[in-house]
Amino acid sequence: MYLYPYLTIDMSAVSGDLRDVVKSIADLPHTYQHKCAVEINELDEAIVARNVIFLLIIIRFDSYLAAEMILHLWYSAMLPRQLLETLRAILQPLFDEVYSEIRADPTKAVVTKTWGHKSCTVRLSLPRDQWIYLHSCLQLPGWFTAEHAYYFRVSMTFSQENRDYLDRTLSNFPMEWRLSKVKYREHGVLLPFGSNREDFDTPNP
Amino acid sequence: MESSDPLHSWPLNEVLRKAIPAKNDIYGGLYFHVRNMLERFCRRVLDHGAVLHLTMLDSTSLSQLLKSYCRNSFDRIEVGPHHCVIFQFWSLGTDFPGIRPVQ
Repeated sequence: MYLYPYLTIDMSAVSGDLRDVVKSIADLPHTYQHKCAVEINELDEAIVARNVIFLLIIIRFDSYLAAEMILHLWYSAMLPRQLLETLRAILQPLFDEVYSEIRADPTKAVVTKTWGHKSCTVRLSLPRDQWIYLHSCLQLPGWFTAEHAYYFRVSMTFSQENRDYLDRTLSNFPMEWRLSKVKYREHGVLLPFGSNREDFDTPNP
Repeated sequence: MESSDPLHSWPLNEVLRKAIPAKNDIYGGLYFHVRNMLERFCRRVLDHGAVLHLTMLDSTSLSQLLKSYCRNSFDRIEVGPHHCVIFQFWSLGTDFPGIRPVQ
């Protein structure tokens, strides 16, 4: 039986979020035992920053924890403080190192860095401006507290101006799903309905 | 562009296929579905191997980069809403036809 030895995926997507990468690789058959190579090209600096963080989490944390971290960074407005502090402790030194290199050599337009763990290699070929952006993307202004985040969130999702939009959205939902939807809109944390959300006390940068 | 609401980002038929104790907790179902998929993804790339390369190139530069790999085809191509979408399927046990990436 002939097996294609090296699966390659070109993600030349304007919207370069990782859903398709995650799904394509997660759903590969067990019979495919070879490596994958994925090219992910994206121009939006915020999306790139998010993708960088996700990929570095994969190679720096145990898979069980990595999945939990990525899920909440992706879909939750609030995070456990410890998650964010752990993330900063592990990733910030990587960004600091590149930032120092850029400041030492301003002539480089694109800086490529490669990190790996086990059989996985993450290679980031990014312009210097993006590395500068990454250097501060895990920080929040000191004044932006959980209360601020909650206020901004609720004032937008439950405002009078949005009341009609919310009502129309909910009217299209099966009745059984509406409570789950309202809870997510209010708290912005992706968890089963009855889960304790008290630990999610820090805004997601 | 991806929505910040996971309800609009993942196929619900797959979410609903897996029964969770509270069947009508749709966001709870999404939590387990996305989490499970992410964990499978993490384990696969670490155990079976992957090279994940991130770039921020315009279409011309990207085209040149891909040509430099000396490959005429890729197994799958996803393109954003401003471009046409081309999928490429492979089958085990047959010769792989391949197609060229869109310029």
